[in-house]
Amino acid sequence: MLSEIIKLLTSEEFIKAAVFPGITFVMLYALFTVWYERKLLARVALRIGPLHVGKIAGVFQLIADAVKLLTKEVIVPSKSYRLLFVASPIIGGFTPLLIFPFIPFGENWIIYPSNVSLLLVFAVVAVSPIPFLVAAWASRSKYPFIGMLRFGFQLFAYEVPLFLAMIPVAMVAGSLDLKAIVLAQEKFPFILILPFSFIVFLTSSIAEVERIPFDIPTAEQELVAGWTTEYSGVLLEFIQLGAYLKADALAIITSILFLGGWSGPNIPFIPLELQQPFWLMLKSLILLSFILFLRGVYPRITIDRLLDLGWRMLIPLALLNIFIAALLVVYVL
Amino acid sequence: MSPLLAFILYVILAVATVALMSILPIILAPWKGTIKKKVLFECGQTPLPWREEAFPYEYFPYLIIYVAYAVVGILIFISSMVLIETPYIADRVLLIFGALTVGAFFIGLQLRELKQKITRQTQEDQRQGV
Repeated sequence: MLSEIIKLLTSEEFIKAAVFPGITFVMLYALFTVWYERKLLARVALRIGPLHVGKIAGVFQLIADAVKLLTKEVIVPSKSYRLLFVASPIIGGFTPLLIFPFIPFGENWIIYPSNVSLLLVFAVVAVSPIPFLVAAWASRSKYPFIGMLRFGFQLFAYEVPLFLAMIPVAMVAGSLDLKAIVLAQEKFPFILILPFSFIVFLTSSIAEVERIPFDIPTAEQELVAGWTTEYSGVLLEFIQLGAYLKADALAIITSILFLGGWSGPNIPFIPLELQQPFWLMLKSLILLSFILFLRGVYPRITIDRLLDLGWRMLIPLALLNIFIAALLVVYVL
Repeated sequence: MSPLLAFILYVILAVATVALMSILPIILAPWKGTIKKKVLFECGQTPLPWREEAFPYEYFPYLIIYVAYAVVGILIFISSMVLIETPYIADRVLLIFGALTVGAFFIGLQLRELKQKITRQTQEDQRQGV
């Protein structure tokens, strides 16, 4: 029995599921993103950011914050739908975790390879906001209610372009497998032949994760904290976790779809198995920096402009790019 | 190497992590819920009494457009997969994509004129002819 357990704990499956690219890596990366955002925005505003907790650059500040939220009292408003109010953020924090098993971090660094991994990823991304909409509804309070309506409109406006921007990539690569999509970019990354798709996908991703300038559902100056107003303690932590996990996942997926994934110049003396995740994470970190940087430099756009951008510009652009991709597939590639 | 086993292990570990995070506050956090704490947020003021009223909101037509575009999106996806599998019907698929692109640009131009607000007319609106 003991030998069986040891065998399981040292197996490739367990290492992938538990360590990399599994749950330990995913949770640490989400924590790192929060710290990185705070440091980056502090630099933009000529501040230092987290400093005192942890010897180097306040690295333990986030752990301190997490402990603080875990030890705070969970307050459930008396008017709310109690069960939904508590369960929705927990489900919402858990759902984005299901994106990562389908993401390849290298040719062999994937938990669950699938021929339709692109579709599986999109399915989880599309489902992930629903628990948060329910959470806002369950609050039965006016700020969350207005935030929820805005959240709904934003989702409707950006989910279609996000989906449409994926299609040209699948057409040019001839596959819905993320691994095959990376391998199809060996000669050149798809950003060169599908630039509109890249712009549409990145913009829709930023809107999907409610980052500034698309943070209308949680607009602090107008709606206190929007649909999250009534949440505190660990439930708020789940909401934050879900948002950061999704931002991380979408940055990695954008790198895979348009920036060549794990392909990069060969680094001598370092095994390819280590180089591949390094290049992918470097590319996604650059994208993530851009997404986070927007918060420091851009104001929030109004809802009419947000809807205009989604319905009047991104969808026609995405369709134009599908047409161009179809022409490329039929007559050039 | 069984990918399914790795996936199951990952899901178990993810559930365990979320469960641990959910249980920790029960052990560590104080539970001193008072009536004052449980009232809805009202920016430090006394909350307004509970009431129900009509809530006019703009941009509802976009919900209808969403349904239309979602269906179109699925059709485009199926067509693009058909294009990959059966290249000899490419001309017809290209024609559909071209028509949809032109249509989307036309709709994009027309959407600005769309009436955004659906609300009950008040007596004052009727007097002003709104």
